[in-house]
Amino acid sequence: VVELEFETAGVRVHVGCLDPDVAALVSQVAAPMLATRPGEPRVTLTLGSRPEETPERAAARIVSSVDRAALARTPCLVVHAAVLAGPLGCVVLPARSGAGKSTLAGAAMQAGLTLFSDEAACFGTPLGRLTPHPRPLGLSGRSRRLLGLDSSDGSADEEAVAPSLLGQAAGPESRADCVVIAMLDRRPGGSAGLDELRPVDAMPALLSGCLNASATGAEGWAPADAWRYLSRLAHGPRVVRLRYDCPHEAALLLREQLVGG
Amino acid sequence: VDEFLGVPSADVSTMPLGDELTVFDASTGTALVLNRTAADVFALADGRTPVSEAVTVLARAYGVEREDIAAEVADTVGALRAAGVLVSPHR
Repeated sequence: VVELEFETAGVRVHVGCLDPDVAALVSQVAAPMLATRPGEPRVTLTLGSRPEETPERAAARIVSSVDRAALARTPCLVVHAAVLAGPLGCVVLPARSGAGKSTLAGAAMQAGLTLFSDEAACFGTPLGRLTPHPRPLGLSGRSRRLLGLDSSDGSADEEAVAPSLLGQAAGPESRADCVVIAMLDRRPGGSAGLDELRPVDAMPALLSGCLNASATGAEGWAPADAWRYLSRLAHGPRVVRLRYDCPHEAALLLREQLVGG
Repeated sequence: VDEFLGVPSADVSTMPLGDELTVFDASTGTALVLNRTAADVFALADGRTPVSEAVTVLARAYGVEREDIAAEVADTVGALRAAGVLVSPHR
């Protein structure tokens, strides 16, 4: 059994991997989520390969299990959003699945920003402080080609792409503050641009994108606490609409916001 | 027909957000974002203010004619009641 220790979304996850080849693949594709300091795991998983499962599929399944376990146990408030960091802080891109978060996150990494997550903004304390969850990026064949990644099998299926293929990802101990919330507005044609919005314009996407607020309250946040947190949060960062067609153009705009003059 | 705006539900919490308001209904676990007009209607809902008076007050505040906002105020009151944010004071 190969022991792997992850620390992501503020949660330590221990995985006992029964197949060394699969463990090596997991370590490669999910390297930014590997723990860099000792600690006690909150979640322990023991996972082996399934019959007729390729090592790649087994690795993807294990990474997905770590992803789910971490998000189920995180003390953070999780919002469905991509998060990129620069020297001035983080931009949060809340959006539903399929809106282009991961592709834009990949382009932003290629433009020099640091990946916090392509899927889950993990908000904690103090208000607006983000914890990284840099799981492998879920990219379709079209997105992989757009980002210039090898898509040798020509598959259109979504695949988990190691962040290291696109740029830099935040380590488990990184923290950064949300300074911009950008609402994605992808439309064909035209150059990328930013329009200033009001704080209230971010609220519907933030509220509807809460991934771990439930009335049962067994895990995660109580809805009232999530509402209170997000209502206070919306006062702080700039809220903008990001109009774009080309993700690379949009990524450069985001970099300008987070790198400064 | 209830001619009064009604009162905020006891289950509702609010937080200002610029000129707007976010509202959380603990009984349903749902959150709403109220635009300026809806936030102003909500603020006037004390159980004693009729809809017609709210229209007059808001028309004056916005510097418009009553008829310009009467339909919007009526629609807003209907939407806030439907969402359970405003209720009858006699409930």
